[in-house]
Amino acid sequence: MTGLHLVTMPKWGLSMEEGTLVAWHRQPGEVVVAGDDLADAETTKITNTIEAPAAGVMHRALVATGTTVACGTPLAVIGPAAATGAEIDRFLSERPDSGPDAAASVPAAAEPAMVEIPDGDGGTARIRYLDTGSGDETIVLIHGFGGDLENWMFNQPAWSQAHRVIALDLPGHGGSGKAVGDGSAAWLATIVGALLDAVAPGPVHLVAHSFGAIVARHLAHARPERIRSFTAIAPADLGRVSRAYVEGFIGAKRRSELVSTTAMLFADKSLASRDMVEGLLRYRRLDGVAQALTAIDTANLRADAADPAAVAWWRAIGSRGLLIRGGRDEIVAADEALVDIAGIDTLDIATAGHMPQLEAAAAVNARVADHVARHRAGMSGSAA
Amino acid sequence: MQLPRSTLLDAYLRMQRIRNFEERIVIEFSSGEIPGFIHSYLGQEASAVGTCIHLDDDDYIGSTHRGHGHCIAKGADLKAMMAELYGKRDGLCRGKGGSMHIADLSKGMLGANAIVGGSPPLVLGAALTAKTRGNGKVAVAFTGDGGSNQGTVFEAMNMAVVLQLPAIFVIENNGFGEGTAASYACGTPDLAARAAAFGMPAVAVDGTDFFAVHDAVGEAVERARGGGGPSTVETRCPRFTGHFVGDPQHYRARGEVEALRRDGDPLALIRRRLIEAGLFDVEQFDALDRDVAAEIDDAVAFARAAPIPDEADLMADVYIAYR
Amino acid sequence: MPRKTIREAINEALAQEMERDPNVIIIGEDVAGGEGGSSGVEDAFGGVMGVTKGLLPRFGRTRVIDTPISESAIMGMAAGAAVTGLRPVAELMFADFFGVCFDQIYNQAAKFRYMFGGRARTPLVIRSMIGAGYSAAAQHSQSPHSIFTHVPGLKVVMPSSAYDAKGLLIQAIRDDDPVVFFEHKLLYDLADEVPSEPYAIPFGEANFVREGDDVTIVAFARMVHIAAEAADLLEKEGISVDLIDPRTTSPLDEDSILESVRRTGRLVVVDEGNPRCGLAADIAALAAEHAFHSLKAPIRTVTAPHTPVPFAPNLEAAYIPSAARVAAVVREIMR
Repeated sequence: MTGLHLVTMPKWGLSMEEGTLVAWHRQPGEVVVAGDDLADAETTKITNTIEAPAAGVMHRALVATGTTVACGTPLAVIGPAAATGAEIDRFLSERPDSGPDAAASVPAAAEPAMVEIPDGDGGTARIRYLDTGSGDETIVLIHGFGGDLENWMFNQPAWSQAHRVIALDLPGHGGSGKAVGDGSAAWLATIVGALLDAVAPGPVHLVAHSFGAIVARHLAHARPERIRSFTAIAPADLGRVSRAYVEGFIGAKRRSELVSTTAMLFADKSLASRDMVEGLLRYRRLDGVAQALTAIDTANLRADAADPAAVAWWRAIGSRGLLIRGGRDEIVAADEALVDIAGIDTLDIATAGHMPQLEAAAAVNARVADHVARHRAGMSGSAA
Repeated sequence: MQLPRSTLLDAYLRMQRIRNFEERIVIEFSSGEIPGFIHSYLGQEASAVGTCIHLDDDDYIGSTHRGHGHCIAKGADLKAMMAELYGKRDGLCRGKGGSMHIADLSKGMLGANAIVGGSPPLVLGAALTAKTRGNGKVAVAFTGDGGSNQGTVFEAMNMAVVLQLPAIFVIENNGFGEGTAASYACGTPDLAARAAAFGMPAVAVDGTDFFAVHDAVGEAVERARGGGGPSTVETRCPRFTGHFVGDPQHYRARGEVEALRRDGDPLALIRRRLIEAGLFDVEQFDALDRDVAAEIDDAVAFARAAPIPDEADLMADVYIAYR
Repeated sequence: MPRKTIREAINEALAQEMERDPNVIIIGEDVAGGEGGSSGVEDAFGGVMGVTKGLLPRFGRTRVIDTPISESAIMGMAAGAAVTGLRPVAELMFADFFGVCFDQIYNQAAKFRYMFGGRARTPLVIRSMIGAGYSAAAQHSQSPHSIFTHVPGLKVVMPSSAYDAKGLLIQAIRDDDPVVFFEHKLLYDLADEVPSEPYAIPFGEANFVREGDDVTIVAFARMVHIAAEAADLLEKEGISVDLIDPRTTSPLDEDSILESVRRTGRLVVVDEGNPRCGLAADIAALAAEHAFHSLKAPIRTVTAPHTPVPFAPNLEAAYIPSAARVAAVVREIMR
């Protein structure tokens, strides 16, 4: 029987080893279409929804609610209504990853790589990046202020199914070196450009979040030949960035101080879990991080309103650009003057905060996949 | 006597300041203005000055509970010292240390120390800093005949030899540990010999004779600055007073102190030697003494007028930052 | 992220701070070892537990200093070096040995700043081993951290994991006050994820080991793991534990403890120290004073008994607080 699909416990982020199935949204026998919510799974860090990978009938729920299983453990079988019980049994028994030792046989998850990039000042910048998937198109993910490549934990696996996806840690962030030059987006863009020259020659699709979108804009501006499409999620240069957030994030040394700051990122405040805050604290404690964040803040995040250069950029980029915003964003206050920049392709997600790629991963994943498809090789020329 | 006149004048002034300071303290303490208790350095002035005359502000000393003399010899400000004894906010330690913890780190004076035998291990550290930096600085640990019976002093002496630290141990043998005579409490009368047994040069000198102390410590300091390791100098300098101001000294025979003041006064000795050498005359000394007396008057006036600590100071400076 | 043992994490912290700051030196008995021996082998010990292994070849004899067995001289030398500008990390091999050198720690180093009116700076770290479990008997097995915690002017650190050990030791070395850093001798081989980069964990900030609603357990050093084991047992019975590791006993993260107690209404403190005037009693008093009206049950402590540490393995096992004892106490107050 072909057309049977196995749904497994996903691996969201580098440190996730297991997840708890907290709720089934569909029951065996129900008809689903691709993208339907199947179940909610929870890690110590975050809770997210598992979607149906294909249309069909959900034949089996293999894991009971409340059960904690290793990443890669089969959760459900979806397939044609005609599939028989015997066929499903055979399908499961033939899969190497569906037996009792399922977790052990799951291919090792991709590990981030490190590369030394010339920093233009005679030294090198150490950059960490996570390279997944393969395909003709390459998507490059640039996180925001204080973030890291794990900000894309719900997105990179999805986009990797059809494309090569490279998520990087900006200088001063995650596992990358903590030197940030003068802290300007232009300097960081130079480093990102050099990284792409080293690991991903040829045009790419940029997907960038918040401050990362400023870096991406500088990169696209400086290296137009490298850019096929440009997606900005809650870009920090199209409005005023919350000082409470930036200063709270930089200044927070103690957990209690960071909890409320982190909650500003989300419409659903429960997403700011203990583990997420602990991870941010651990990042903040690293030598050089406070200086790096201060330098980036000083150079980029102090404007009272949208950057005219950014507005002009959006006007120029045309259909190649995609703007994604959360309706309950507390970090970047959208500039009223920008409500409609003519011709911009926009996805507004009313229920999301500053990180729709986490809070509304399914919608963001689908829309970006569509955007990349429309601007894949041969569909159009380079960006403005 | 090869010392320049300016050095001798400096030495005399330092000794006279100690003498005046301590005599005045006895008076002021008795009037009840100075809290706590006081251990007087009278009779031992030549030991502190004969030692510290070789040191500058970047050399270190660690002191004892009988520490005013060391503090003055090392160049601490008299007004701030006096204010400290009065428990005032303008004191060297802002009124938080008092006589037994008086310190001036800016002068390399690492503190009087109310624990007998407390300083020598600390002085090792100052000597280690000097050795690590290779800056030719030295550290002097003052202790007494009482301190010389403490294990900490033995440990410090051995460690200084093992690590070849630029440390000098000055054992001020003033004849008594509190109310018990050194002749009873020390298993040998030769305290320098104990130090020598740890493997360092050690000599005993007349601690009432500035010149004897000067020469012996000078040799030790020179050796230490040159990387030659530690030395010990035992300075024998009987104290004029009791263990503390007010101690009736029932343990001393009638007339003993009077005889010391008459025949073993370090101030009288240096004065006589300098007059005999023709470097100073009596009028000059009398004028210097009047100046010193005026300095002490000023110090007392300053201390009396100085404000007491704020109550909030109680909680200040336990830590540089707690949380 | 690389996994490292507590031993490796401490070694890495020392090496990184020595690399960063030439004022950081290491002083102690056998911190290198081999000096003067007939084999000519240097770095023969690298500390009795191998924690400082490899630092001598890297930083030389002027910065990794073997001393005679003279704890007073070691502690005093470290204090004196600190107050004159170095940043010594002095090793008091077993915490039990504080008896022969405590004056230099609590009368001297701890009090300099206060006695001298705020004009002294004493960036001293004392590393020392605590803990029973090796049948090392009464003079090599104690956990006397409460005595140090009692002293104003000292900060006291008790790491329970490799991540914490590295970050807390780096903080201790950079801290301008004297810090006593207690390493539990049974935890050296415990590994967890430790960043390769240097980082400092501020003192007085508790680690929230696990979340729960029914009872707050406060534990330090190895007892964090004993308490976690107890929490596993209790979870199967439907009792959820809020486990807090304050990391430092001085300063103490009182806010986090009280916030948790006010939420759960129950407190159990687990400490390997002796009970009288001890850390467990101190934290129990804190909750009694400030969270009394939130309490649903008596505060309980699980500590070593009021005895020296015994030698015989069965007696020593009975001496050390166990997960079973902790769980039993929790069950009692859950009734």
